[in-house]
Amino acid sequence: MRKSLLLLFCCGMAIVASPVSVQVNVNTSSISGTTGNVDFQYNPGPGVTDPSFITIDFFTPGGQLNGVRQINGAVTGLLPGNLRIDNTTAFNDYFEGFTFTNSLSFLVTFDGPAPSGVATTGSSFLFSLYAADQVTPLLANFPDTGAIVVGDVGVDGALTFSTPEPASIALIGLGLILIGAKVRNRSYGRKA
Amino acid sequence: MLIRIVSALLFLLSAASSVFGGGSTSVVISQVYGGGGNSGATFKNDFIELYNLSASPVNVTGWSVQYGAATGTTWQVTTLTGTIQPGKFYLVQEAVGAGGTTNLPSPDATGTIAMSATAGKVALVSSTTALTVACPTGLVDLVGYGPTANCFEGAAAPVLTNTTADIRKGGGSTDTDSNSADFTAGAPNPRNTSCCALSISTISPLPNAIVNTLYSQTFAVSGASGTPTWALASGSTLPFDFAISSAGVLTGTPTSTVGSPFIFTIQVTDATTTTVSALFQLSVTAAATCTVTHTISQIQGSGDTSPFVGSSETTSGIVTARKSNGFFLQMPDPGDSNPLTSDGVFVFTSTAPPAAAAVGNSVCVTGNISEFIPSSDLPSPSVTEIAPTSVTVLAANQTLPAAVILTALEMAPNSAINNLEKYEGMRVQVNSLVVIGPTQGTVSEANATSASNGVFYGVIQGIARPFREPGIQIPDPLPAGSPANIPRFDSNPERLRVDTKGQPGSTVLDVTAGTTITGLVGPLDFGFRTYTILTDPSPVPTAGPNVSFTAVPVPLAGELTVASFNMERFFDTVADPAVSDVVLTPAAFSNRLTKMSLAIRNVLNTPDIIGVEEMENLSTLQALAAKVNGDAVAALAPSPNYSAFLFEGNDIGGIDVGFLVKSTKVNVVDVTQYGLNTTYTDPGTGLPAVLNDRPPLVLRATAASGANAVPLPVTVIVNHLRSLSGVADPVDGNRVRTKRRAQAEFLANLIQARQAASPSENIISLGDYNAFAFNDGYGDSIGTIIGLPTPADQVVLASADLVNPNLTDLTDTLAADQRYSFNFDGDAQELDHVLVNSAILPRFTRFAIARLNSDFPESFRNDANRPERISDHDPAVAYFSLPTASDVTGQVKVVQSGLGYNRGTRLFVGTITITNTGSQTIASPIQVVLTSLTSGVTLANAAGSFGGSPFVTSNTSLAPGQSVAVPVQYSNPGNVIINQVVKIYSGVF
Repeated sequence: MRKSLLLLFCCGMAIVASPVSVQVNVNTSSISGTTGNVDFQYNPGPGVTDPSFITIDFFTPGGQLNGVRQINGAVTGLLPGNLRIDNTTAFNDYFEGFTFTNSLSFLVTFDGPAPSGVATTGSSFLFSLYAADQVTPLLANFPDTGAIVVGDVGVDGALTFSTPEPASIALIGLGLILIGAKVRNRSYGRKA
Repeated sequence: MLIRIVSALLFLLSAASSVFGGGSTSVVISQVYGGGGNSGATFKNDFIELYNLSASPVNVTGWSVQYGAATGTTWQVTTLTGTIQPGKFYLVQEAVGAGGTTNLPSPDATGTIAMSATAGKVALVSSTTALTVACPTGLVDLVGYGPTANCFEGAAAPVLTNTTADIRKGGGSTDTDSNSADFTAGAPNPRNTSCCALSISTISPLPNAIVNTLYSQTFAVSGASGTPTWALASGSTLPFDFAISSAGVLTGTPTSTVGSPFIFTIQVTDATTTTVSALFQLSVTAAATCTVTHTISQIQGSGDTSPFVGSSETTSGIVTARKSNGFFLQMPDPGDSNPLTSDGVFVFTSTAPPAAAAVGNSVCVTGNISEFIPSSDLPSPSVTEIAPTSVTVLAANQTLPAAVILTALEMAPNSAINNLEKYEGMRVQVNSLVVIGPTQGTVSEANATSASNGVFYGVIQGIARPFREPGIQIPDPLPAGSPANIPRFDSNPERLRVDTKGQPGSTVLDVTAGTTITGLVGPLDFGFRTYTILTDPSPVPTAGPNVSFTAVPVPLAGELTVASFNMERFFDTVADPAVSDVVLTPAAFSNRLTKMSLAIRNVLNTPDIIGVEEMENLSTLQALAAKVNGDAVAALAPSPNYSAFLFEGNDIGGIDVGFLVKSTKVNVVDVTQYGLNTTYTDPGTGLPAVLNDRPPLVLRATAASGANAVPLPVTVIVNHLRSLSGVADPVDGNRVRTKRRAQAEFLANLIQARQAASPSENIISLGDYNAFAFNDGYGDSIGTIIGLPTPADQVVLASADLVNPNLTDLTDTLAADQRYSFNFDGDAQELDHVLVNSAILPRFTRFAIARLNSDFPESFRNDANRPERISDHDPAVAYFSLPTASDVTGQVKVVQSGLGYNRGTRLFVGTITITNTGSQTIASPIQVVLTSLTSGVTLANAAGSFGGSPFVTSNTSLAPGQSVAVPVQYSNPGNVIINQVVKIYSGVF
């Protein structure tokens, strides 16, 4: 039974006021022991975008990175260390082979300058898992993109971060204030 | 006082005078002639002739004839003497002239009045006192002749010349008090009181009678007063059943020669009771014998041709029907009882057949046997004929052989072209026939009229209407070097041709296709490759009601209608020396405009764009536009404000293609002619020759469904390709076929070049392609133009596939029984097409062919107040949906999300969020159009393309302040930054 989509709106939480961080936990128990890939991307939309970037910190694999990577665009750093991905090209992506265990987690932080007022498009962060064939999304919550979690930064700098299960997220702003009554710290297995 | 006394005395004497206007009951003026002695005249004198139409003698002593000039008030007098007997004439000689060669017969009175040779007034007066006013009363009789005469009875008698007199009809006896009705102009024929004794002019002995043959002889008389009455003289007898009618016709049928010759006395009595008689001798001869060499059925044989071709044969039969150039001869029932051999044959006399070949006569015919093939159609099947050297009557009044009833089975669509060979020349009958091709006629283009020739086509009821089918027509030979698999068209042997004018006295039927006719009987002829019934004068076939036109549907408000109309040689009233045009009379031109206006408004429902073929010039098309616009307003409808566009082409007959564009709805961008100077290589001469007689005309325009709606750009190409005439010609056919293919390929390349340059261009190619929707065996123009050329093994001249993506022939969207715009000898066929490319095909809603021409008889051409038969082609109308969408970009805020890449689908995925920032609700659907999209990037989830740009649709309305996020998916294999300009529309494209 598929769970209904849970969306989290980080109303009023603009990354320009201060960087916004989100803790992401993903339950990978249903694919534990298989080999696949982890995928982080942060891309602008069509037209004019204000520059911004994300960082991936505290990547806690609970599994094994295998060092076979495909890196596109404005990506700096390597897992399991910290990553920084800028939205300066159309496709900014970190993709690496990985053997799954029961879970993984990371902290994603959105950051950038004040909105220019001329931007026509925002930028989107996506975290996805792919099978060993590199084209089949695993545990996808968003059929169009194949992503597990998505974070959209609007033209006004506002972040909209959303995921249903199997991931859980925790919004970490100033003083780790949680916004949104529906956010719960959940960590349970995906049900088919 | 004296005059009054004389008049009273004369009245008592004659009791015959009447006042002017009351009509004379005694003596009338029977002839006036004023040209005597003039140049060209035969007689030296003018004269006036009188006639006594009463039953009593009239004494005219003391009377006079008087002459006045046409408008004169004075009269010249010639005094009369003597008595005129009943039914007799009286001649008054007048002035002599220098010319003429012949004296008048001895006159009964003589004067010297010089009468006008053209117009004047002649009075018969019962006194000798000259008249004194222009139009006197109290006359015995009066004749005013010539149009300037100012006095007459009723209306003036005909104007005269030096060689004509006005002669009273009825031998002088007609008197209705109208000079114009009672007199006719003719050669002068002066008659005096001794003229014209009653006598029988028929001479004895009479022509011989033949045993068992109806005899008829009409007797003639001269000098009779009034109507003569004939009779057998008292004491005389006539042989056999002979009798003479009061009209003088002797008839009877001798049964033997015994007693011949016969002598009898015939008498005649005229209106004056004068009787004369004469003795006549009539001989009866034995009937002719006939030594038959072969019977008709033996001459016909059981094959397609006679086994006796070239042989002189003698045969006998009953004459069943006469034509202008021969007659049909058939064995008496029961014939030879062999169903495979015809019992009838046509006897070809070239000129009118002899009297011996009267219908019902049994005759003996000797002549050469031949198989006739028209020199204009050498591949045609032949007809067995006898060219007679003698036709001899054997007997008269024979019962005609019973007609064979034709059945749907033996005329089935899958029968052979010779399916009725076994009945050729025999009397046949069709109990119920459905018309498939309307009555034809001979068109007078200058007068815009047509004379019916009584010929139409039909099928026996129960057989489906035949259509032209693919392939080269049987029995036309395949051109030399043809490939192996050319299809053959079976010529539709189910067709029957009906000629209702082929026999003298038959009733001509003018019928529409679809009409049912019952009771057709007549001999089975063969013409125009088709078995033909020549309907008998009696009984007259019964025709059901003719049908009226069928209009196309009234378009919806959001539809664009585009029509094609071959207007059939629409010429003006001016001779153009550069081309062989027809010059219409002003009345004919006016009638054509009136009919065409009715057709465009009431049958086509005023299309937005009309591609016009066979139009002489721009001014003529402008005249038509003005006529339609004016008629629409006069009919209280909005004016379409048609504008006319036409460029002169190369046609030696002076016809061109053009457009009528409804300027109230359609905005013309430009009109361009293509291929005016293009040539092809004539395979006969090896030299370049003009390719496009009527070069294609390309109209670019926009049309909008409303003031705020986005306009739809369309490109309409009007065409008139070379006709099929001569395509099978053994000498010129290759040139015709080569030119037809070259034209089709030129047009295909023209369309493909546009498609390639702009795949979103909405192209409608229409017109008279003079080609079927399929391969005709010689070529496949439509297949070439739409991008589906016929394979080379199935067509004489094949083409490569020149068009991609393919076009659609809208004819194919119609039910099979509606796929025609023309009728050729009963074969319904589609020569006119509307072809659309894939860009505009999604907008196509419906297609209709108006029925007002090809199903209607030529006789309808004569009626300017009905639209039918303004042309020989049916026009077609294609309907397209126009965008209802309007641009609301200024009323919304557009925000685009970042794009996530899906490695599975290889697509970048995001949303475009539309927020209504205005004060009005934006109606559903909302269209998001991505214009100026970065090269190499495509919108993978596009719902369609508008103006060359992809769009996605959201089926939602937006209240003020409300938002909707519309998913977008891009293919961006170069991973480039995507740029685009987002436009938002409300409504349907």
